[in-house]
Amino acid sequence: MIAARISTAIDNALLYEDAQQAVRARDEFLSIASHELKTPLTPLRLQIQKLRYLIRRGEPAAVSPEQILAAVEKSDRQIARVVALVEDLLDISRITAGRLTLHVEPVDVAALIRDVVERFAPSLADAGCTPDLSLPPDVTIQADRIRLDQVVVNLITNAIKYAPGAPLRIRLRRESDGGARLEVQDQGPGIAAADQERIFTRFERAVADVNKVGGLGLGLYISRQIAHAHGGDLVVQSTPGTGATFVVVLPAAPPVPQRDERAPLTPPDGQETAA
Amino acid sequence: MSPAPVVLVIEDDPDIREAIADVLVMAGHDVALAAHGAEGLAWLEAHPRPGLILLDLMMPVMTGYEFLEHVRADRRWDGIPITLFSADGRLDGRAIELGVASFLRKPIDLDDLLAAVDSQLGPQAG
Repeated sequence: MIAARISTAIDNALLYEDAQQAVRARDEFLSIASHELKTPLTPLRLQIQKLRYLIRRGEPAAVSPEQILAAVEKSDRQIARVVALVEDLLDISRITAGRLTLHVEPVDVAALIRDVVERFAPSLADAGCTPDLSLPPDVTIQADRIRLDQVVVNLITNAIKYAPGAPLRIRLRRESDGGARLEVQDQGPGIAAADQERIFTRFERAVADVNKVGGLGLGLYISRQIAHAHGGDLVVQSTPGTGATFVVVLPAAPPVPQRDERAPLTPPDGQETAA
Repeated sequence: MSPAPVVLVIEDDPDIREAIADVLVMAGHDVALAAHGAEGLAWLEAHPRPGLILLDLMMPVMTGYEFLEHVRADRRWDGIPITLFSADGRLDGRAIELGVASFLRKPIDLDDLLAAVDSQLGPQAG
């Protein structure tokens, strides 16, 4: 009897501690999310207010069409940043609810990677990260093009954030089962063994001081969930001081989803699969 | 005539840095830019004293807090006014405690930014 009451008390204490930890994690996330959402709003607001300031100065030619165009383009870029952040938050909601849906089609993985690298060429150049690509042309798999693009973008932007000023090696290989293996190798500070799983959990970063690195801390978590939805995986191999290699392994095609009362039904055309 | 005092902007986000520089130049101020605290310190070492430092808090390499500690510890930088900016609303009202001239909350308002700069340097003929 006493043993049962003690056991119940211990269970309650553990549940209370778990609940407290969940509340702390939620509060920290809300603080980080509001900071990240406000960041693009500063240049957006200043560009718009700058136009207002110039117009209010009153001379008929106070604002040239070039100035207006530049301000509008800069504002548009900030709106895209906000949209990307909101998409990440929505992805978390979709993953948590088991509603991450794949739109599967044949994807030429090398072409997809080359496209991402070209899009990020200015950012890579700014960060001093020279891409070193090894992309054989014969790696085509059944995958969700937009989601796979998202994984590659996350890995490249991670390297820009954590490993600036050093070459970035990107290697693609066709696996014997027809799948794809992608390695993104940076020369950053590396990740200690104890942190190599933690960085794939929600709201976590590879550094202890959140004042030093921005971002929602969702990129690697979302990327791994996308790999899992394809029936693959995303892992990191690293020794501190020697950089980190992120390895994405994807099968030739995602598994056929199992019907489960908790998961949404697969659409009847069979072209989509839910995680 | 001595040259106009420079506003040193220390901010890691390139879009924010560029937007702040844009509006300060538009208002007739001379601007210098640094991407984090360590770059800001290097700039201070290599140039005459700025008229004002605009300092972000959350930055890679060296945060705004760490930059403040370095500046406070070195008598050469005594008296340079510093305005902090951050998205963290909990810092509202802590300017005096942190020993800075003022605090701007992100997303920064243009009129607040120009008022903070003008209060230290005076309005420029822009």
